Amino acid sequence: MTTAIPTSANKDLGTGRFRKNRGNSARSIGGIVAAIVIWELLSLSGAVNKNALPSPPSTFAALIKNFGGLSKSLFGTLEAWVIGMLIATIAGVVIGTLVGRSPVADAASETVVRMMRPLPSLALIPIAILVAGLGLKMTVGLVSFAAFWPIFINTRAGVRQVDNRFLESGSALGLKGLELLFRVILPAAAPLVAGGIQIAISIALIVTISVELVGGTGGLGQFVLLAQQANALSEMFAGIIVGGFIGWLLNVLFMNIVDRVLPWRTQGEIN
Amino acid sequence: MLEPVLSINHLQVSIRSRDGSMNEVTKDVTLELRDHEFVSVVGPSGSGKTTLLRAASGLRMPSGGEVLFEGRPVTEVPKGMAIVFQEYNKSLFPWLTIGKNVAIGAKEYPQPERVTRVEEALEQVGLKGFSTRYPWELSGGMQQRAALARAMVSNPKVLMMDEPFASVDALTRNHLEDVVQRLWAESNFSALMVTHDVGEAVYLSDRVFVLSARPSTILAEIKIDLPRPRSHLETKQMHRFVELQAEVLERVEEAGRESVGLPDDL
Ligand SMILES: Nc1ncnc2c1ncn2[C@@H]1O[C@H](COP(=O)(O)OP(=O)(O)O)[C@@H](O)[C@H]1O
Ligand SMILES: [Mg+2]
Repeated sequence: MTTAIPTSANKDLGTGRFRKNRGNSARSIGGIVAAIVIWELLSLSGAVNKNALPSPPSTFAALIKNFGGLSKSLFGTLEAWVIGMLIATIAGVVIGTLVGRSPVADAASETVVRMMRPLPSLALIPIAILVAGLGLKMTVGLVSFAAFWPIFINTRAGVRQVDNRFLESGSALGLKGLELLFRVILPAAAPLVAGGIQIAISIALIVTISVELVGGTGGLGQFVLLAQQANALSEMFAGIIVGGFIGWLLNVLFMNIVDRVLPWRTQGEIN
Repeated sequence: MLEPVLSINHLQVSIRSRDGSMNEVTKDVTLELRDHEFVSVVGPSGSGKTTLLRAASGLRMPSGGEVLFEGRPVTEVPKGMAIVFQEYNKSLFPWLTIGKNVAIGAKEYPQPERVTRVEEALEQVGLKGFSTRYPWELSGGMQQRAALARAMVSNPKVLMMDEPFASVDALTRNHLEDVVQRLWAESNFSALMVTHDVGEAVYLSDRVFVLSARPSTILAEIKIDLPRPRSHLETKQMHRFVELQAEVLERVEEAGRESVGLPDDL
């Protein structure tokens, strides 16, 4: 009978098990409504200090009032995010592929990977500021550094774990070298690579906003920082909400792209 | 006499096991595949059929002996040889449509011809119109027919098959056997099939080799002198078919008895 798909893919980061989320939109809207209701109740009841939690209406008012400033800040954040993600994705996939397909490099990189994986990139912000100073370059550098690891780790695992039967099929068809790489190894690794990119999307956003928050280098982070310094609580929350929303949106967009580009990702396992 | 398309001479294959020791899977296998001949190798499960087929097709380096394809030593899968694997769901690429899977088999042909060849190959196996579907959208039998089309589209001299029908139900298996028989009769390739199914081997082959238990050697060669074309309904009722099947089965059981017998050094 057909054997179960080896779940070795799940050992590494991001199993590539994105849920089909189309039928879930009603539930996620329900979740958002519930969160807003709890928020409103908390701020009404006075259970949380009024100076720490603005009410939903005043936050939404601030959101609308600051639409222009928020859009501009969001654009700044996304600029660093996009450049950082591009660098991280290209570097992660290329280096991950080279390392994963070379037994020597693969073994040699094992320790580095084990060390880098749990390292919180946020802890590197002060060092990065010291080394590169404040600015887009430093932000992008730190973002791509942080986002590189999940993509590298998953690509390395993905190209290493390609089912031998796919490789034999490729050889039997006369594929070798680069042809085998591009037509068999990389497609077979693609779901795991996508899983790594998905993790990186959130990490990159967190790092971008954090750098802006610490360094005051523009973007949503600086917006929140300035609002906090001005004691404008509703504005601060508006900035935080925009950050959360954009993180959610980027994830959903990416999942939809993956569903379209790798249609066999889930279906392949049914057979 | 014509030189054989494929000769396997004193092939020996040892595989390094996890603990580092060498495990001799194939001890000494010699057989020849002549022009437009259908040969099967039968043996019990674990007797090293897949290993033999891998070594004979250049997917694995043998530890001893040699394999010659049209007189030249085999070091990788040679042009002119196509392989159909047992696990169709791991041999067809799920990221490609059926048409694109088959097109890889036809990559040696220039573009306008390639498209027609792919279409013809799909039609030959009854998959016309399924070109844009993905493998995982098809039944097991259809997937194996697609794998067959991918092998046939290169117009091979030798078709190697590793238990090609073992993963489908009995009715589909009968149908697939006849698809293979028809393709073989209409083309001019030679076929080497390994299987544990004695009836299947006798039904399709000109000669059947019986493999011993591991480390494997050839125990017997049986010539199948049944008239062609063969059909499940008629051929399998023939007295001669029943006789031949019994003969092969007897040798296979001998091999099986050997393997469960106590080792000499106990
Ligand atoms: N890649 C491998 N690594 C270690 N042992 C193997 C490997 N491939 C095959 N073997 C050994 O060879 C034996 C025969 O395997 P195989 O050729 O698949 O037999 P068959 O196809 O007849 O069932 C197996 O039982 C196993 O011990
Ligand atoms: Mg086998």
